[in-house]
Amino acid sequence: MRKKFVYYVLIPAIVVCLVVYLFIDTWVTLGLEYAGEKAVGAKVEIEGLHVTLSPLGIRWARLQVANPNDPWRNIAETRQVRFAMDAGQLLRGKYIIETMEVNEMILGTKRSTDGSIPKPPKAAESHDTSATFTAQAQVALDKTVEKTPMTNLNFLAAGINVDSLVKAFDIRTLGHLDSVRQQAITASHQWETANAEFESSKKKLADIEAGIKSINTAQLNSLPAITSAISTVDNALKGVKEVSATFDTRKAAIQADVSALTASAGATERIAAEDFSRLKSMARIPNLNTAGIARLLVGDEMYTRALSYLHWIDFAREHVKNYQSKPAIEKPQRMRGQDIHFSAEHAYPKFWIKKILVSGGTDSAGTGEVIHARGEVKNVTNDQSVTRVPMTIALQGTEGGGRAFALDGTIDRTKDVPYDEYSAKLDGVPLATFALGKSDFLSGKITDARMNSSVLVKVPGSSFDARTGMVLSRFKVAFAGEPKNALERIIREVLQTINAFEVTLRLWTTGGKFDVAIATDLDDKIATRVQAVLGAEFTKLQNALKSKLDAAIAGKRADVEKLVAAWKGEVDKKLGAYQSLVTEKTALVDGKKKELTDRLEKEKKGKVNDLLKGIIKK
Amino acid sequence: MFWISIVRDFFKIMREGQTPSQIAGGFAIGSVLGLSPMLTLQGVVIWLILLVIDVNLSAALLSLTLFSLIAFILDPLFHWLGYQILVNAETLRGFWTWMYNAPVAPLTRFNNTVVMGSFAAALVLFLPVYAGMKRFVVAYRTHIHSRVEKWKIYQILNRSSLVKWYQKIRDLRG
Repeated sequence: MRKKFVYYVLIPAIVVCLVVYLFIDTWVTLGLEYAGEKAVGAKVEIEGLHVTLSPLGIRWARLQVANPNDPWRNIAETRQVRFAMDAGQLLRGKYIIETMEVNEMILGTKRSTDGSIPKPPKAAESHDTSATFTAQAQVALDKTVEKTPMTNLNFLAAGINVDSLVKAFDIRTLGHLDSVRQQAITASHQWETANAEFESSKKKLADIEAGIKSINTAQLNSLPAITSAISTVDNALKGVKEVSATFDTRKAAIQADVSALTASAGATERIAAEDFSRLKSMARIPNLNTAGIARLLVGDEMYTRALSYLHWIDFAREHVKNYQSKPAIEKPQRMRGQDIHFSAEHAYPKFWIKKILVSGGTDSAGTGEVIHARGEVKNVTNDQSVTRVPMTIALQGTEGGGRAFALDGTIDRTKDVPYDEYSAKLDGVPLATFALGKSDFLSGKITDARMNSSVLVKVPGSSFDARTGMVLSRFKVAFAGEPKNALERIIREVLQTINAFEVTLRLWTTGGKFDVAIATDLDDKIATRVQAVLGAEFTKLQNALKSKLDAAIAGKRADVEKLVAAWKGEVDKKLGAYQSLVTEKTALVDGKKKELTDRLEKEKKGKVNDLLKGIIKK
Repeated sequence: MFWISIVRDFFKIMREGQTPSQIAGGFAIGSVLGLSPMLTLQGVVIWLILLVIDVNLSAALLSLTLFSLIAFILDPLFHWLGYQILVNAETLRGFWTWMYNAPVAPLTRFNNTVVMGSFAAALVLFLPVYAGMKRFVVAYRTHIHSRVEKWKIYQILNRSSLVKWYQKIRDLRG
């Protein structure tokens, strides 16, 4: 053994231990801050950290985590945090914490320094970001750009020359009425021909009637005379039936004409309505449908807010990964390598905080500006396939100013398909600014609002379904410059008279493309207001147009309707009369035939009786 | 200055003093340290071995430097080798799982691809390095030294007043 071993090993070892003892707190602080900043993307600051040996653990006095999207605010700030680690598992290189106590967790506090950190160079971002929910949603939201709605309401001030407009208008109803008239004339001609035929048939029926009436059954005393009369009646019946058949054919044709003409005349109303609609278009009178305006007003801001939430969902997806028994080979930085984890049942994962107990504390300053959170976060681990329990979050908080929030979440990687679910509720939050509209339409902002919002997000596998609701109330509205048109003026008035509105946004995908739906009760409110403000003007203008159009159509329409009605009346009347006549004559002939047949039977019976009497006398 | 002195001492030792085995042993242990990442349990153990057993330290430090450079260049190869041993060697999987969940063993960081790959390479190269170095020392003492003495760099190092001054300062501590 080397003689100076003591100098080479023992003394350096003591020095190392001394240095470690003196600097371990600083090293651990720097290590935790570095890891936190790498994960969050903003400054993480720990104050007063001490590593304790019995029990083996860490405690610190204060922690601030800056918001990467708003570096002058913290996502969260805590006072004292302390936890003990399982020393036995630490020897196995595992960080197992039974309970982490987090005292006085405060959300959204202002920072006195900028919390941003330099962004890593782009080359370091080797992973594909196009597959993130944020990127996919961004594509979907970009496709939902609304066009500016109707804004040409200035005609109300300018007025419209209704007479000249109607004169210049191509009234299709008039053409239609001409067509109906022509149709009526054609049908009338056909009717005249048929009527002439009916008149000639009447003469024939009169002759048949005279022939039938001339047969006096009582005077027919012989069988040949009766038989001859029956033959005459049969011929008459044949004639009546021919007339009846011809009549039925003609009647069917005429009734088809009547139906066609009635339908054509009935279509006049519809064509007149179409004319009115076209006339309104020509006069550039828009519909009072304001759907989509609210989407233009609040869409951009809602989309921005939704994307900021999606960032955190992607964050969870990226950092809480599924365990893979055979991980793919990565391309790590030089000399860093890739850690391979070997899970075994009933073993501990590399890292596991079983419970984080968050106590809310009280708003000692009484400013009412901060939210104190309380609740529990359970099973924060790097490998849920070993712990077999999902990570759960249940936090809630209130503050003196009436604000309240609740956040519940489940991040489940225990099964083959990952499942995330989050629900958050935030009530009574003062909202400094909420951007409205677009640069070319209703550009403005809402200030000093109170916001109640709720979010429900479900992320099973590669599917995604997020529903966000937001109610803004007690707000002030400020617009940039003067209104550019009447619609802008009206919407400004609406926003200045209401004191609350609600917006809901849904973003979802079932693995294909992202869909977006946004709805708000502002649409109804604006529509109602537009109706109230413009309704009278609209009604007056529409009535003027309608009366002029009706007047232009009325004369011809009355003529045609009169013509059709008269023709139809005559046809119905005459057809009825002819029908009665044919029926009457048919009945007359049928009656005569029956009478003769009976007489023939009677005569035949009399002759038989006489013959029998003669035989008996002999 | 420290490294110039090390090189100078190395040449001196190559020429006379410690045995070829001691020089080769230091050089081989230094190669293991140089190829492996520093902050591992086995790294500490190997340092202790280096300090405890009577091997040449100058050779070890020179070897450490040389093989650290080689390790940096061959890092992708070590990463690949480590991945194959840890992930694709199915027969070893049970052993790795046991190690991963055993006390102390994870402090070796054996589950890191670069640690595993470089350490495996170092172990494989240990004997060849030792044997090669031993033969080289013997050959140096018999044939090569007379030629090396004529090198300008050797003469500069040997006569350097800066090195002599450094050695005086160093030797003050006894």
